[in-house]
Amino acid sequence: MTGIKSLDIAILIFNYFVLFFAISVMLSYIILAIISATSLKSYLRRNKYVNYDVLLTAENTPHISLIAPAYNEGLTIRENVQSLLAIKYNNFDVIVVNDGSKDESVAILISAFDLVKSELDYHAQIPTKDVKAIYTSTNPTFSKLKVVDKYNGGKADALNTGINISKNPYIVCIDVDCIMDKDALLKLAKPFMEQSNKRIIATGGVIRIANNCVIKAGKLVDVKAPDNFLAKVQVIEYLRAFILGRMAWAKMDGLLIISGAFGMFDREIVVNAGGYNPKTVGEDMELIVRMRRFMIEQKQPYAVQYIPDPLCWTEVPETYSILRNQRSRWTRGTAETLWMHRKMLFNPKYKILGFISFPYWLIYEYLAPIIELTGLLITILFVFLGIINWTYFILFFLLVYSFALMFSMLALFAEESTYRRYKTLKDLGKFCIAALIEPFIFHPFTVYAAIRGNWQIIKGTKGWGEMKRTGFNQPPTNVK
Amino acid sequence: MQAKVDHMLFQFLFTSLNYEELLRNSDFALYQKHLLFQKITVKAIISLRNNYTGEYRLKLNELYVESGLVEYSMKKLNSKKWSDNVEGIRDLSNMNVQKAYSKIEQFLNHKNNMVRTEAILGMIRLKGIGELNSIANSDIYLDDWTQSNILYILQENKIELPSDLVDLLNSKNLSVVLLVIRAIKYFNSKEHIKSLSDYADSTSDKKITTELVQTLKKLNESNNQAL
Repeated sequence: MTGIKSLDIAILIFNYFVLFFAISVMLSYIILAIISATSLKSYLRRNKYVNYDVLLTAENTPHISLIAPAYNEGLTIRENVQSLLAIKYNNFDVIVVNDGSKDESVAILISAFDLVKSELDYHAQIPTKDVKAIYTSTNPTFSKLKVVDKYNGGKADALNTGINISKNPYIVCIDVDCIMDKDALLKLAKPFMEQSNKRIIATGGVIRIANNCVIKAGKLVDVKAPDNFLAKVQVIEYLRAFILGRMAWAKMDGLLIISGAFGMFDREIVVNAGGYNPKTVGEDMELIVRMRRFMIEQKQPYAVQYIPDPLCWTEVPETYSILRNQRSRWTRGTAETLWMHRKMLFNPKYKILGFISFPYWLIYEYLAPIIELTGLLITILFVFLGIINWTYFILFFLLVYSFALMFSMLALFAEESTYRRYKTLKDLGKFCIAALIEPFIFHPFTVYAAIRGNWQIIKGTKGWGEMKRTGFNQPPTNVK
Repeated sequence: MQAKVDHMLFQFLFTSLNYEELLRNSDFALYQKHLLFQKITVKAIISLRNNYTGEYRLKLNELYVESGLVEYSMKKLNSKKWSDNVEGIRDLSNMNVQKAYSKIEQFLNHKNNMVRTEAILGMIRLKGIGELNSIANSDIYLDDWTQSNILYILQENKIELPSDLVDLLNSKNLSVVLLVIRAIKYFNSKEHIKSLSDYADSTSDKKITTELVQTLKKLNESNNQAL
C-alpha cells in the first residue's frame, strides 16, 4: 500500500468493488445457466415426439406474413426470396420491403418473379415513409409474394411498412439474407396455437452462425465450424447467449429481446404498441420492451415464448471493422432502449422486468464494458505507481479467465448434448482453441467497440451505416 | 442396435417369416429382453406402421403383441414419470391396442396437462371422435395445437365422423364445440349445415362465431357446387 490513508482506502474500495462485480457476474451466469439447462431439458422432453407435419394439413394454423426488409441486397436477393417462398408452411405470404435500395434490387425481383404493379392500397396504421409501389406476381407459383418499393427510412421503417401491408394476424420479421430452418415457421407457430389464458405476443428462436456452412439454393446443407477466428468466437458467443442466456430469461418471464434477425409477433399487439421505433438502432429490443409494457399497462395477461431449436442461420462479421460497427450499434441500441423505458427501472408495476431484467441489462450488458475499462485503467495506474498487489491481481485474473473458459465449454457442451449441429471433432477442436484465445483478443475488442458506441452517443451519431453483402461464403464488405 | 433392429424388421416384414420363424432365424430372441432393444424396436414398429397399410400393418401388430413389446408399452402407463405415460399412451394407441383403453382413460384426470392431452388423443385414436363426449362438460381446454392433432388423427386413421357428432354442440366445454365445428369443416360434412346454422343463432362466443361463419360459407359453397 501507499501509506497515504485516503488513497489506501480508495484502493481497497476499488478492489472490493471489482471483486464484487466479477463475482456477481459469474453468479448470475451460473444461475442463468442452471435455469436454462432445466428449461432446455424440459422443452426437449415435451417436444420429443411432436409431429410438426400436423400443421401442414391443419386449416387452423396461424396465418403468417414473413416480412423481409431489404437494402442494397441485389447480389443475393433473388435466391434469398426463393428460399423464403420455399419454407414448409401453409398459411403464409412473403412481403419483401425494398427500403430505397441504391442498387438494382427491385428490377431483379421484377424480372425474377414476374412482378407487376398492383392496385393494392397502402393504409399506414403505423406511420412510415411513402410507398412508391406494391408489386405482386402474375405467376401463380409466386402468388404468396408481395414486393413493396418505398423511400429509404431504415430497417424499422421498412418493417413497419411490411406490418401495414400484412393482412395476417401474425408476422415474422426476418433479415432477408437469413437462412431459415425448413421447420422454422412450424416451430414458431406452435406456441401461438397452445395459448389459452395468456396471449402469446411474440416468439423468438435461436440464431445460429452460417459462416463457412454449405448453403445450396437457399438451404443449409451442411454445418461447419467457420475458419475465420472472429466467426468462430461468435459461434461460441451466440451459443452462450441463446442457449445459456435467453432460455433462462424466457423461463423467468423476463426476456427483453427477440433477435431482429428472426422473430414472430402478434400483429395486433405490435400495431397497438406503435410498431418498430425508427428512431433507435436497437429496434428489436425496443419493440419487445414496448410490447411488454403495453400489455402490462393494459392489464392483459400475456407471454413471450422462446424456442431453443436452431431455427435461423445468419452471416456474422469476419472483419474487425464490421464487427466494431455492429457492436457499437448494439451498445447504442441498448442505451437508447434503456433510456426510453427508464420508467421501468425498479418499478413494481413491471415486476420481474423492472426488478431483474432491466437492472441486469443496465449493469451487466450496458455498463459492464465501462466498468471493465475503468478497472483496466485503474490497474494500469496502479502498475505505474508501483502499488499493485500482484498476488491479488494474478489470482483474480486466473479466476475470471477460468470462469470465462468454463462457461464457453459449458455452452459447447449444451450444444453437443442437445442439437449437435457440429459433428466432427475437428470442429469442436477449433471452437475450444477459439475459446482459449477469446478473452485476450475478442473480448477486449468488444469492450472497445462498446466504449466507441458510448462515444458515438455523446457525439450524437445516428443510424446503422451500410453493409454491402457479397453472399454466403464470401466476406461482407463494409462501405460505411 | 438400430441397424440390427431395422434388419430384423425388414426380414420379418418383406419375407414370409412369421413370428416363430423370426425368433428361430434371427437375433430377435437374443435381444428381446434388453430395454434398449425394446425401446428401439417399438419406435421402429410404430414408424413402419404409420407408413404401411393392410397386410404389413397387421403383421407389425402381430409382432408387437406376440413378442411382448406391448407389455413394454403397458408398463410405461404405470410409471411415475409423466414422459413415460405420454410415450406409453402414444405407443399403445398408435398400435391400436384396445385393451389399453380403460387405462388410458384414467389419465384424463392426470395432474400433468401433457398427459391429459395425450390421453384424449389416445382415446380418439382407439375409439374415434365420439370420445370427446368424455370431456364435453369438463374444463379440459383443447387448444388449437391439440385440435390440429385430433383432426390429423382423424385423417390419418380414416376415422369417420359419427352422425350424432352435432350433439356435442351442446357441450359446456367451448373448446369441444370449436373442434366439432372444425371437424365438420375439415371433412366438408354438408349434412350438418342445418345444425350449425341453428347453433349459430344461439352462440355469442366470438371465436366460435368466426369459425361458424367460415365453416358455413365453405359448406354452402360446396353444396352449391354439388347442385
